[in-house]
Amino acid sequence: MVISAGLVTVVGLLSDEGSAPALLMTFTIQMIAVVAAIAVLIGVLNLAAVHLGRFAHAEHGWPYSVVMLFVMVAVIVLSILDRAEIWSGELEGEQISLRAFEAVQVSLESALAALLAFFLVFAAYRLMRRRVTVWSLVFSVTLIVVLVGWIPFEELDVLADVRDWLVRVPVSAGMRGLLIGVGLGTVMVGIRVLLGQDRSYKS
Amino acid sequence: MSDQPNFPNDDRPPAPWEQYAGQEPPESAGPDAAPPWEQFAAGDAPPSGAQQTPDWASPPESAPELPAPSSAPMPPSDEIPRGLTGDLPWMDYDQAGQPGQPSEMDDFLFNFENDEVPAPQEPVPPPAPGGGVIRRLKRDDQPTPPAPPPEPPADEEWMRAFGETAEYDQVHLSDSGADDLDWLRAEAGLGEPQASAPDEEQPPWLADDALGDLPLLGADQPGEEALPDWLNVEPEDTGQPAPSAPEDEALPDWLLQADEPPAPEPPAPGGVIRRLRPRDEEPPASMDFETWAAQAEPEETGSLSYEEWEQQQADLEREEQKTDADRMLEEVPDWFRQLDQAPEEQPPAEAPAAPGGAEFIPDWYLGLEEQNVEEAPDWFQNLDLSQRSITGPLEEPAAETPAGPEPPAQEDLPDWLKGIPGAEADADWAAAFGAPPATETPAEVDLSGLGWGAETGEAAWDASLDALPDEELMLPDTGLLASLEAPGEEEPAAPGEVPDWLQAAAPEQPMIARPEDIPFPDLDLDQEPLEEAGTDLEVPGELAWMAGYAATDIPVPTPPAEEEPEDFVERFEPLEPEDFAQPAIPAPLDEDAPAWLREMAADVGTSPDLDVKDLFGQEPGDVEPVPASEEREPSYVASEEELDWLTGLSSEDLIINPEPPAPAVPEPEPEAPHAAPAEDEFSFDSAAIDDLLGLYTPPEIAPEPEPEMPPAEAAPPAAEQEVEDMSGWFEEITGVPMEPEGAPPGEGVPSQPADFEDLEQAFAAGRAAEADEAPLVQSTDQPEWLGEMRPSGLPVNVRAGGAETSVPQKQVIELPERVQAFHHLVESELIPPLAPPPAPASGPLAGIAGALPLIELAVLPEAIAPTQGPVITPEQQRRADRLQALLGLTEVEEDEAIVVEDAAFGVLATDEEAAEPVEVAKRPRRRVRFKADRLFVTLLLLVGLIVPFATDAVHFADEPPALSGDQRAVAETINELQPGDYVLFAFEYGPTSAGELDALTEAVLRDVLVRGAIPLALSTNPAGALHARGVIEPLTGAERLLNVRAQGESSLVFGEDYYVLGYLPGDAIGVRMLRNSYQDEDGVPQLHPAFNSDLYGDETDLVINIIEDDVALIAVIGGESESVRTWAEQLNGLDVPKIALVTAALEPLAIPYVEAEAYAGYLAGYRDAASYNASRNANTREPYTVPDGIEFDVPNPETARWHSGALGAAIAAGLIALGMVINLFRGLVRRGRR
Repeated sequence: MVISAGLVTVVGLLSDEGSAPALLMTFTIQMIAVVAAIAVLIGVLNLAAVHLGRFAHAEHGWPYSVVMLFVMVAVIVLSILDRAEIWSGELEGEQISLRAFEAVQVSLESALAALLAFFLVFAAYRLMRRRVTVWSLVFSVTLIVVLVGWIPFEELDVLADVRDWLVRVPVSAGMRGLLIGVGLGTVMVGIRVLLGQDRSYKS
Repeated sequence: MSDQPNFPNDDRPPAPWEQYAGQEPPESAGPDAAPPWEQFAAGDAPPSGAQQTPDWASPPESAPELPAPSSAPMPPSDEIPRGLTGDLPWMDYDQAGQPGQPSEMDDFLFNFENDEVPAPQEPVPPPAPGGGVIRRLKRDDQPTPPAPPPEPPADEEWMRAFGETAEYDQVHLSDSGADDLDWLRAEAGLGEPQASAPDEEQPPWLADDALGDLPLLGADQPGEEALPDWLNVEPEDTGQPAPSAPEDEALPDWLLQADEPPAPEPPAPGGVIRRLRPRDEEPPASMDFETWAAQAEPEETGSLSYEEWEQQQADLEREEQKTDADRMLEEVPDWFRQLDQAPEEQPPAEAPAAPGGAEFIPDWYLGLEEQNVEEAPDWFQNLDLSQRSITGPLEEPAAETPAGPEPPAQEDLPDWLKGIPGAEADADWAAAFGAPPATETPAEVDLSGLGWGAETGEAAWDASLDALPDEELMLPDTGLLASLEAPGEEEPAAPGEVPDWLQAAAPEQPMIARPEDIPFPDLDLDQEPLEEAGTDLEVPGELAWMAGYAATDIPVPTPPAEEEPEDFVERFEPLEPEDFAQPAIPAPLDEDAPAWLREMAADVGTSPDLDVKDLFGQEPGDVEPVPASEEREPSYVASEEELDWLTGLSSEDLIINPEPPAPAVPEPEPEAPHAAPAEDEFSFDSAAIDDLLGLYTPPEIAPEPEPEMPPAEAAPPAAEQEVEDMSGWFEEITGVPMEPEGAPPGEGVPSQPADFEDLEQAFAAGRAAEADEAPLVQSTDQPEWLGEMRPSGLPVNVRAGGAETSVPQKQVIELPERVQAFHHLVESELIPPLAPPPAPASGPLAGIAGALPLIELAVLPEAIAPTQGPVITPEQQRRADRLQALLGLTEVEEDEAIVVEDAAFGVLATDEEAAEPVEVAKRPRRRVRFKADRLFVTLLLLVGLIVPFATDAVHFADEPPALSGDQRAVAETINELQPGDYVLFAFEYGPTSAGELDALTEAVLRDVLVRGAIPLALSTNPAGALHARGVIEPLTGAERLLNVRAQGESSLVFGEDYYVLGYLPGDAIGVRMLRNSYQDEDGVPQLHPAFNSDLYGDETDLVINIIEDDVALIAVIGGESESVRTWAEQLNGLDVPKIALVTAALEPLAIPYVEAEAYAGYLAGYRDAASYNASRNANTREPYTVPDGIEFDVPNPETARWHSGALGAAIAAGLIALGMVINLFRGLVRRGRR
């Protein structure tokens, strides 16, 4: 079934738009999108079931499960309330659920992402603590040049140019190579799936 | 015929068998007639009348048949006319008080029996004074009065079969003197004696294939063309017990078969020659074996009877052949009875056998060839000696051994042989006797000792004939003389009697057609002279049991040149070769003699039929009597010295039950092919040996007593007794050699064919007589059942990996000392002392001896003493310390992480979790080392990021740079937007990237909204869809934005001025679906499903059928490379401008996709956002005003953020550079220290 779906997709992509294979491919993709949407719902339900189980059996870390279940229920309730537009007063017309998301989720994740800057800086600071090598020197110098080149200093326009060159030439070249490799890997995976050699869906 | 004048020593008293010299073969001798010896066995009176010469032997014209057909082996020397032996030169030697040498004829015959071809591979020593068969044969050429053969008693059937009776009588040489040469010529086919030779004149053993099955006469042997015709007799049906009579009328019947090609049987390897050399003497048929053995005392030949003379010969043999091969006498190897099963396995011997090679035939077997076939056991009658040597694996004959003999010393040659032209290899001896030219040379014939190299030529031959006595010239066998034509070859032709069982041994052996093709019998000319052989032969005590046999006709085998590793002979390694050099005369049993031997002697002494003193020279009372019921029990109290000699013997080797009533041989399987015969007296039978040696497979693991214990064995001991026996045995094996427990006297004797039944019966009778009166003597050295289960002498079959091999065992004492020490140590470890536990003092079992003690099941942890732990050397400890020191820093870091984790967990940990028992002791936490550098970096970076928000004093960075390049392309693309255009914003980022991308998205959205375009928020990330509205919502009420739009709006309306469509499932597939167009059946475009509903599920009024036509711009806001790549790839080639808004980290990824069909441009990070705002949204952004209530100057957050980023980047770069410098310096310092 997977192979046939893949073949249909491949044939539909190679066919003219509006043709039968293309329509069949479109139908297949739609079905897949629906299945994916249902999968998200199933995933949410499964998540809730798992944490309910942990809470019921008082397994290790069950308090976290309680928090998760509480938040999930709260978001769902808030969403329902938002949909019901029960808020009045200053909250009239507000989407409390979106505020909660922005206030909690976005703030937390942004804060965690901000910590990354500190770790990266400290790691670079201790890079040559263990061992001093040429490549570690190159890495450190490059990092310094990019950082300083990012800073809009008129006196350091050379560094900005160097940074732009580094980003566009060597870094972009490396990234292109990675993308080519990714593309080849994707092709191979597709072929393997079509040939039935890759059956990761069974796991 | 006058024989006395022909003898050199006429004054010698005639031997007892000389009366048979003139014996005439029975008239009834024919193809179907029984051989004479059988007639004797049947009680027929032997041809009496001394000095009577048979018609076929005495006159030359009668072509007396030499008792040696072509392919048949030469008869033993004792088959040579006895009437001639009285005054032969070797008899002179015997008269001197020295035992005679075994004749070459005997050697040949014995080799024939063993299916081996004599191979003169070694320089042949001069013929022994008394062993020269040629002399006697020469004498037969002259008129020699036949000596009267002894009268064979009627009760010795099998002994008569040894050639002491009829065959000798019939084979004895003619006494016609020199005229006998005529019949030799006639035998060659030239004279009328051939036709005149009646069938009845031919000895029965020559009549047909009696000797034709002799495999020793290989046709491919060199020099076979020079052999006489009579040696080329082809064997025929060997199943006939009696030899068939010749059929040809022109020639003697026994010569007619000489025309047939010789037997293709390749000659057996050589080393058997000396070993298998028969003796000149055999036990006389007229006397008991015991008596004869006892009388085997060297005497003067002239006064000796034939038996005595044979005894002397045997003594010489033993003296000469000092070898350990006699150890084989104690048992019959497995291969012995398998000869008829795999005859092809025996490698053919291409070259003559080398004397002194492998020797496998025990002495006791010698002489059996003359037994009556009917008396032989079945297995032996069915032996196929033509295909395989009965001696088992033999060595290949040495190729380098010269085929031709070396000329012996002239003084060793008989007078009549001196000057014989046969010394030359190419001498035509057949022509000399009128025989046709040889067409095929049989197997090698060792005539080296005949002195062929002395002189050659007919003149010399004639001269030698003239010099020969009449008796020797009376040899009526032209074949024998013809065989002399093949110098250097051995002729196995036997002078007469060939037992039927030997005939059966080679049923298909082709016969040698021509006499000259017949190899000359092995005359054993390489034997040592009598002077060298010595006379004081002694039989070791353990071999005394066969002293009687040895005294008769048992040739003492020579020491084997090289034994096979797995040969069973090796089991007798403890026996020294000199042990076999003991005289055949039974010597008094000393202390070294095995107990069983002495017991046997005692049995014999008590036997009514046997006299042990006659046999062994020892009184019966010297040994411990053994009851019949304890035959398998240790029947003697043996000392350790006595047991030493048994170390090489397995207990099973000695397990032979001589008990008359009960078969002593254990029968492993009822259906065993070698089951013991029905007769009771078969303790020496082959079946017993087979069961003991051949079929028995020693158990690999000490099993229980096998059920096939001999019935006569004592009752199995009780369990306690077994335990004691086991313990005692184990103790015994530690220091005392294993005693062949359960092996009664005689069990160590190798199995004998049924031919020795009389002797066995005698032994058995002796045992039976003592059974009642002899006390039970049981040795505690080893339980008999254990000895049987674990025969130490037998190889052990070891199986491993599917392969199986046989490994010979060795006794403990045979092992090296260090191995013995190890053996003792292992046994001491494996065998704990069996001390009975003390009786418990309390409990229900108090006072009961042997009760199991109580075991403390509850063991306190404290009571557990630390077991033997690993022994750590100081060096290992130092290494461990180093490793621990190296891991110190890492452990500190891990400890820090553990502290944080524990702290976090402690907040949420419940009482139950806290109450959980700590099974594993917590690792002691180390003090968290303060890392100043980490704190310094963190604080410095944090200050650099925060301070710009507090004051503008640190706003040292310039304004954001203007858009350029790909950034400008984004602005230009947005500039293309028209009011009302749909701009699809793909919010492919989550809250994690929101801090960086929100600003960028806002900048672009602001620009889009200003231009009147309608942003459509869509995301394949659920969080992105939710976050989209959070990004757009702040702009909906921006006054400057709304003012710039100039549309009179108070705020932007969701679902009108902007759309948040929600989640697009399917990732790449969902993105791919955006390319699809939807129409109804009438062709009317339909709303695209992706734009059909908003984030809340409400339907939208978007009229978007095809993205390519209805969407003006696609802005992909990607916080991950996958999303950026997916949109670029799935919508590649779509005629819709696309821009990418990515983080600074993804800028290198976006660059490759900036192309015509992908992204028109990109904006990366906050820097581009600031640049874009500065360039494009300056008029739409609200001016900064200090919030109310704050009295100090607070920088513009927008500006402060820009400078914060710049300062933070600067601080980060400075920290990294600092760290680099510091670490580089430290590295240099460390390097300098090193």
